[in-house]
This record gives sequence, C-alpha cells and structure tokens, in this order.
Amino acid sequence: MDAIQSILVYTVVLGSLYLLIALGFSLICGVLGIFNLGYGATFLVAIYGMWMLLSTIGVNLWVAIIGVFILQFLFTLGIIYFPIVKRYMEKEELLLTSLLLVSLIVEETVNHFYPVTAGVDIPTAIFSHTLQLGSVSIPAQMLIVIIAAVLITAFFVYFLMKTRIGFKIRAISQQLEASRLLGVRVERVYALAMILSVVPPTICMLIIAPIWAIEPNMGHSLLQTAILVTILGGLGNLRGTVMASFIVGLIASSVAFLGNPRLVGMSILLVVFFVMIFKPQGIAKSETLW
Amino acid sequence: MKKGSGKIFCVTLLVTVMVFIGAAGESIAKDPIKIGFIGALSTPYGASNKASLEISIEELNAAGGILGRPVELITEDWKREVPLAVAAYKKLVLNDKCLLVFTEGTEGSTACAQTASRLYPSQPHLLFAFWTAHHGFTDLVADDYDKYKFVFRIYSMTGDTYNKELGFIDFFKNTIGTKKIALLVEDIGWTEVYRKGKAGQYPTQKEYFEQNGIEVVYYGTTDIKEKMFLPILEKVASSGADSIYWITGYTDTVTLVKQWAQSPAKNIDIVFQSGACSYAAFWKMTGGQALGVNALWPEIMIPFTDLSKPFLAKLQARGSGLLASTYGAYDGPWILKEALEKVGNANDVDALIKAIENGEFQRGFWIWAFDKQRHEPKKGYPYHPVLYGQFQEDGQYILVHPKELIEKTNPDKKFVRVEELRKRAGQ
Amino acid sequence: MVRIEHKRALMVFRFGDKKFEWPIETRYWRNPILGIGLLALLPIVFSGRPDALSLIATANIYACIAIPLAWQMTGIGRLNFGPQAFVGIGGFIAALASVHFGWGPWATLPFAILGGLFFGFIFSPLTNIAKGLYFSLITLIIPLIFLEITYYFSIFKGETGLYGIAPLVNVSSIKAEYIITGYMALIMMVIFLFVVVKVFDSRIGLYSAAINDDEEVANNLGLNIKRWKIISFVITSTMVAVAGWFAAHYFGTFSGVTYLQLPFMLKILLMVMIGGRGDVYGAVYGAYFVVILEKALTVVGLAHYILFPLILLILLFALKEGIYGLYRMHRYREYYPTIRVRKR
Repeated sequence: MDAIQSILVYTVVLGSLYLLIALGFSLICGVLGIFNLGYGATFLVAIYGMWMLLSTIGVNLWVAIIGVFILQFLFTLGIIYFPIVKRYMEKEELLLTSLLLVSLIVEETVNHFYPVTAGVDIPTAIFSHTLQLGSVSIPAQMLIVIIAAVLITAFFVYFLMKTRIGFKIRAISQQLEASRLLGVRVERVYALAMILSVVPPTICMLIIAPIWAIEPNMGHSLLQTAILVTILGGLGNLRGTVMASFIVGLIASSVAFLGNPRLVGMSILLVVFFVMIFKPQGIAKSETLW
Repeated sequence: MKKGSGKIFCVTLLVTVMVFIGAAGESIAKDPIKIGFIGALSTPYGASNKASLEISIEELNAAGGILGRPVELITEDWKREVPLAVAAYKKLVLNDKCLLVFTEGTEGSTACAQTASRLYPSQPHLLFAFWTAHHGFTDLVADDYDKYKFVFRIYSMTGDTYNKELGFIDFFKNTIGTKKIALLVEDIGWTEVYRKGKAGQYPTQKEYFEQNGIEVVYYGTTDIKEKMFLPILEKVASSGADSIYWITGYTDTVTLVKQWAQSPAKNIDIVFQSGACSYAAFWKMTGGQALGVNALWPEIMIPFTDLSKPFLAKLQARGSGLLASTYGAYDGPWILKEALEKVGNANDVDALIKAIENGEFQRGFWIWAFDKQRHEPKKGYPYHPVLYGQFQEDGQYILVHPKELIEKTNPDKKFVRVEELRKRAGQ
Repeated sequence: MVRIEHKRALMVFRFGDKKFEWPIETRYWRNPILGIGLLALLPIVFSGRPDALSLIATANIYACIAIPLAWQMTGIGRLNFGPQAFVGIGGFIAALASVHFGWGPWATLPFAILGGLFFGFIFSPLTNIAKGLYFSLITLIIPLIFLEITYYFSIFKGETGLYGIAPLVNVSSIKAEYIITGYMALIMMVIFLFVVVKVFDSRIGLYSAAINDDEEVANNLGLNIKRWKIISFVITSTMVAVAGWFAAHYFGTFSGVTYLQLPFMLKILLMVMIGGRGDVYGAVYGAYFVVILEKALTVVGLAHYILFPLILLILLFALKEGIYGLYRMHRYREYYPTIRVRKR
C-alpha cells in the first residue's frame, strides 16, 4: 500500500518535472518541425546567466530573474534562431550538427569561466523543508514544480487555442505552405515559438536549482530527457507530451519503488525504443499541436 | 602562374613541412631528466595535478635537480579520450624519452598501461597512476610482474576499505556510532569488488559490514547518470538505517546531497566515497545543504610535514585545490629523485624499480612505501592514510578520521551527528 | 622492364603487355591515387613521431567509420545518428574474444564481421519501418541503450573497459610495429574507400541514388527498395564494426565510455559534414582534418576546448559543401546526395 502511494506521488512529481524539462523542446518540434539539439544550452544559459548576473555583476534576485529571461531571448534568437535555425531550415543535417556544436561551445565556455569548483548556487529556494503526503515525504520545492508545470501548460494551451497568434502557430504547424500563402509571416511566428520555448526550461531551472546539481555538463541529461519525452509524446504534440511526461514519471517511480532503482534509466530508454519501433508516431497523433 | 604548377607547389610545400615537423621531434637535447604528465586539464583534478607537479618540479630544480641534472615536466592533454591519451603516451616515452609518466583516470591509465607494456622492453620507463581507484589496475602487476613491473599506483584504491590499518569499520562503529546501515553502490566497473567481492581476497561490501557487526538494512546499486534520488532516499528512510554509506565516484553528489537535505533521510548520517563532495567548494555548490555530509579525501589542509602548508599556499595561488590525487602529484617526482639517487644513474630502470620497491620516501605528506607484488602504497598513517572529512557549521570542513591526524589538524573539533548539527543550526 | 612512352597528352608505362597511362596535364591527374600516395607517405615521414603515427592511425579508423556512413546515407536515404553502436559491437566482440580466449586479431576478425552482419540484419528492418527523423532518433537511442548495457553487465567492464587485447602485430621493434600498424590502418581505409567507390560506380550506386532521390519513384520503376536498403545497411554496418575491431586491437583496450557516447558520434558526424556530406573522399578529408585540428589546437592551452568546436562551427558555416567541395568547385559536379532527417 505504501509502495502504491509512493508511486502515485512520484508519478505526479516526476511527471511535472519531465514536463517542464520537455515542454519547450516539444513546442519547437511541433511548430518548426525540427529537433533543437541546442536545447541543452538553454538550461546552462538559464543557470549560469543567473549566476553571472547575481555574482559577477551583482544585481538583486528579481532583477536577475528578469535579466536572465532577456538573456535567454537574446541567446535563442541571436545565436540559435537567426544564424542557424533560419538559415538551415531545409538542410537538417547541418542544422543538427551546428546546434550540437553550439551547445558544446556554450558548455566549454561555461566550464572555462565557472568550473564545477566555482561553487555556483542559485538562491531560489522558496521552501527548504519536506512535505508529508501520506506516507511519502517530498521536498516542498517540488510542489512548486507541479504548480509551475500546470500553469505553464495551461498558458501554452490557452495561448495556442484561444489567441489569434496561437491560431497562426497551429496553422503553420499543420499546413506550412498554405499558411504562407494566406499571409502568415512564417519567420516571425517561428521566432515567437523559439522565444516561447525557452520559458519552461528557464522557469524549471530556477525552481529546481535548490535540488539539482549546477555543473557545466548538466545539459546532456536534461536534453536526453527532453528528447525521450518528446519522442514518446509524438514529436511536438503538446497533449502527447503531457501524457508522455507522466508515463515516464510512472515508469521511473514504479521501477524505483517496485523494482530496482538502478534500472530506471535503462527501462525508460527501452520503453521509448520499443514505442518508436511499434508505434513510431508516438502515443498521440502528431499532426496537431494539441 | 598556371593552376597546375600552383598545385605542384602546394604538394611540395606540404611534403617539406611534413618532413620538417617529422624531423623536429628527433632533435631534442638529451640533458634534463624528463617527467611526463597526461591530464584532462579542463577538470579540477587535471588542473590540480598539473599545478602540483609544476610546483614539485620547480622545488626539485631549486634543490639541484636529480643527480645534478635539471628536471623538465612535459604536460599533454588527453581530453578524457583514449586515442589522445595513447598518442600522448607514445610521444612522451619514445620522443621525449620521459623516465616517468604520470597518468590519470581509470580508462586513461588502463589504456596507457597497455601501451606502456609494449614500449617497456625497448624504452624502459616508469608509470605512476593516480585518480584511478579501480582494484583491477594493480592486478596487472600482481598477475604478470615482468610485463607490468613499471606500474605504480600513487593513489588510494578500492581495497583500502578492507584494510584493517585504515580503520574503515572503526570510523563507522566508533566515530559515527553506526548500528544499522544503508549501503548504496554506484554500478560501474571500478566498484565491482564492492558489489561482487573477489574470491579468496575480499568479501562484498555488504558481507564486510555484516562480518563486522554492522547490520545492512538497505542495499542497492545506483546508475551513475541518476539525477532523481528521492525515491531511493525514501526507501532508505523507511528502512530504519542510522547511517548511509554511498559508494560514489561518478555519481552526481551535488544533486544527491541537495535532495538528501530535503528528504525524509535528512537526519541520517551520510558518508560518500568520492566525487564533488571532496571539494571544499562543495558547501557553496550545494548552497549550504551539505551540513553534516562526510566524504573521503576531503579538501582539508593537514600539516603532515613542514612542507604541507607552503605547498598548499602555492597551489592556491595557482587557483587549484587540494584533491585526492594532489598528494601523489606533489610527492611523486621526489620519490623518483630519492630512488634515482640511490641507484646512481638514470639508465638502469630495473634497478630503479627495485629501489622504489625497497625504499621509503617522504616529501610533503606521508611516507610512501610500496608493496613488492602489487606496487600499491603501504597503508595506514604514518604511511598512506585514508582521510574522512565532515562539513560542519558555516561550511567548515573538519577532519574526522584518522585519529592521529585529527590532533594535528583540528584538535578541538570532532565528528558530530547530522541531527545534532541541524539542531544547532536551527533547521 | 618498364618502358615509358610519351603520347600527346599521356605518359604511357608499359610492363610486358600491361599498360598504365598517366595524363600529363595536371587537371586530368588521378587525384585519388595522388591523395592516397600522399597519405601513404605520412607514416614514413612521421616514422620518428609515434604520437603522430598514432593520430594518423586514429584518423584512418575514424575515416573507416565515416566512409561506409557516406554510402549508408545515400543507400538508405536516411541519416544514421548511431553508427558508433556498430563500432561498439565489433570492438566488444574482438575484445571479449581476445581477452577470454586469448585470440589474436585475425581470429577475432571473422567474429567481428559475423557480429556486424548479425546485428546489422537485426536492426535493418528499421530502414524500412522508420522514416527520416524517426530513423535518426531510433539510431540515436541504440548506442545509449548499449552504453547502459556495458555499465550493467560486468562482462563489459564498465568505464574501465576490457584490457589486454592482443595487439595487431607482434614484432620485436616497437617503432617498426607502430609503422606497420599505421600502414595497416591506412590499408584498411583504402580498402574501404575502394569498395565504396566501386559500389558507387556500379549498379548498386545507381540504385542507392535512386532510393536517395525518391523512394516511391524508385519503387514504381521496379526497384526492390526494401531489399537494397537492407543490403546497404547491413554491409555498411559491418564495415563500421570492422573499424571497431581494428580500434580494439590497435589500442589494446576497449570501453563503452570512449565509443558509445554522444561526443564520439558528434565527432564522426562532423567528419562527414566538414569533409563533404555524403561524399566518400570527403569523409577521408574530414577525418584527417578533424583529428589534426583537435591536436594542433592544444598548443593554445585551455582555450582549445572552446576554440575546437568554434572553428568547426565556422567551417560548417563557411564551407557549403565541406572541404571536398572546395576542390570540387572547379570541376564537373557528380551526383550529390540529399540527406533526409525531416519529420515531414
């Protein structure tokens, strides 16, 4: 009984976390139809940008949070979108390679200026106690992860379904040429989607910094998580991504509580691998964004 | 100029340049004694080893070098890629004629030892390995002495846990007061001896605790890429353990500690094998959540000799920290000096190996003596000790094991259980 | 006795009744022969520099992964993101057989080939099931699963890797051994190059190009595209496995950490891209260039960690068709494959 309770709680907790990690990646995949392999660098820009503003420049926390969003927008438009994504939209092998290179450059630059031993820490802990949920206790900070995941997803869905610009985004994701002919400025919408896509990872990093290691190579595992969740969710369908996040959360927590925690990583990989083979379109239809 | 002749010109130029580069390697003065180092220079360990070797060799030269000859350090970066390490090793031994090469990392040292065993007959030299604790590494020497006799480990190793001289069990039983323990082992090559034991030599870590009267109430292996430790900590907390021993090396101890400090297991004392937790900066890295964390090879200045403190000052001036391999990096060149001066010339490497096997050496830290079968340093203070440190109030890193050294380092401080530390801190 | 004749634009070498012609004008020179001749000089030129020999051999091993990949990209019309899985398969088979049974390189080779064929065949249906991006993604995951397996099962020795693998040759002089193994790597690379060039010149090359251009059209024209894609995939995968076999015996150790991680894949991918996408000769240029650049940059100190990817990125931007494209710009453009990774 305790095990079931634990699994339930952790499915929600981990699912929300995976959702926050993967949401931006999935959005790009759905709207632009590309794989943003530079997504790992987004997490680094969030954390180390924050640290740079806080420690090196010395502004206060709130200014730094606003600053880090501006930095993210500049990074994603100025380095990811205009020079690379826009240029190589049609040559995807070049796109993927250069995006991987960009994230490698960011990682090495960060390691050069702020190596592990620099002791980077972001004071964004709202709670630092543990929270008792039945027989399970989780860090209270995880509650914020859950709330943030729900709010951001709700915002994305509302934005895409109810606003005019959201309508354009959906139109492009389904019928690129037709929308272009009808006068949608595709490049602008793409740029907007790129900007939107960095919001969840930035918020995610700010919230989980108190329970996550901050190190220059942290992008790898986060990118891998985002890729796996997005694949499972049908490459860019938000509903699928939400479902996939919680499925992965369920797999992780059941393997951890009923089986051997050692096998969590491998079981997620295997599940995604077999889903790819037998149901390559993922668990949701990928023609639509929602 | 026609296009065609331009191409010929290019080809000629290219060949000339290649011949020139190729020939350049041959014409190096033979006079100094050369020491090579293959390090991953962008990592804290690589940087610290490099700085320590540089300081050590500067001091060596200031003291007149070895046998009146100057000593030169040649550093190569292997970027944690085996092909680069192997290429660098061949260069250091065959071209630079290094008498001694320091290697790092488990896969790097293993690959270099393989290359070296082929090189040794034509170019005798020594290999000192640090930052690799894998027990199997010195099995090479034990299993095939003639092929690998030039390999020495100047670092701790996995078998240390079972070494009575080092008081591992004593640390748990008497210093911490462990009765029931949760044992977690990261599942990867170097921890094999802990997970499976070694027939006739070592029991598994679990059996070892139990043989010594500590009940293992939770046992598990973990993935080195694990980032979500909360479920494991949850299980540990409900197992009734009063201490956690987590054998880490590659595991992300920062995430682990951050999650431990906010989990139901936060009042259970936690001890790590190694990883980022050994850095003094770990306190800052975890935002102060490392309160009460214990780790092997803490970055604490211990005045082993009069030279320890000045060395550390120089090391810090170069922006590097005191890590587990730093001791060997600083002392290593001096081991070579003393052994070589006993032999009297730099050409007889076999005699040099015998001199290292039979001698005792001391420079900045403890006394180095090597066992003849395995070429492992002799353990137990005043020989190679094992150090445990604990983070206490305000991020002070306190030495908590072994007793002899606590008196030298922090005589007025001792181990405090994490629950007590948290109470004091008002958490 | 060799007789040399001078004809209008040709030098003709006669040896018995065999004839070999060499054009006098440089623009008609047979550049592959020249290029390989130049590469063949390298081990002699660098005979006194074992580190350079080692790097040259490494470059050849990388080229042996990149060359079959150039064929594979065309032959199956997809971009494989996990060729290193087959490096791992070949390497681990060789390493396990050598360590546990004490076999030499020539005894392990057939098994590495068989392993490559077997696993190539097992995974080959993917070329028909998965399209574009999906294929890239599945192949991206395969090596990651393999890496987890090497961590989990102690037979693969995790991050330490298997050691004590029999060397390629065993001669008393170590310098001679390095030169010999350097040439063995070169010979393997030349064989791969020869095979793939011949394949591209043959009917299979035509089929490959047809599949690459449009699978449906190729199918309608009566080409059994499923069969040809499987054949291309299995053969190229086996060739990559042979490269893994060579690496295991060359370095004497083999670990999953070195070969199965993403950075290794990125390196191979860069060689293919920088050299000239989907081009056989380009793969060789790319391999040598990346290996030499990486080593050469270490002279600038720690900044090379940033400079290396940065320079590669700039080159990727600047050279539209890779290094080989620079050379090819002035001459007739042969078939240029497209690589499909798009979702739609």
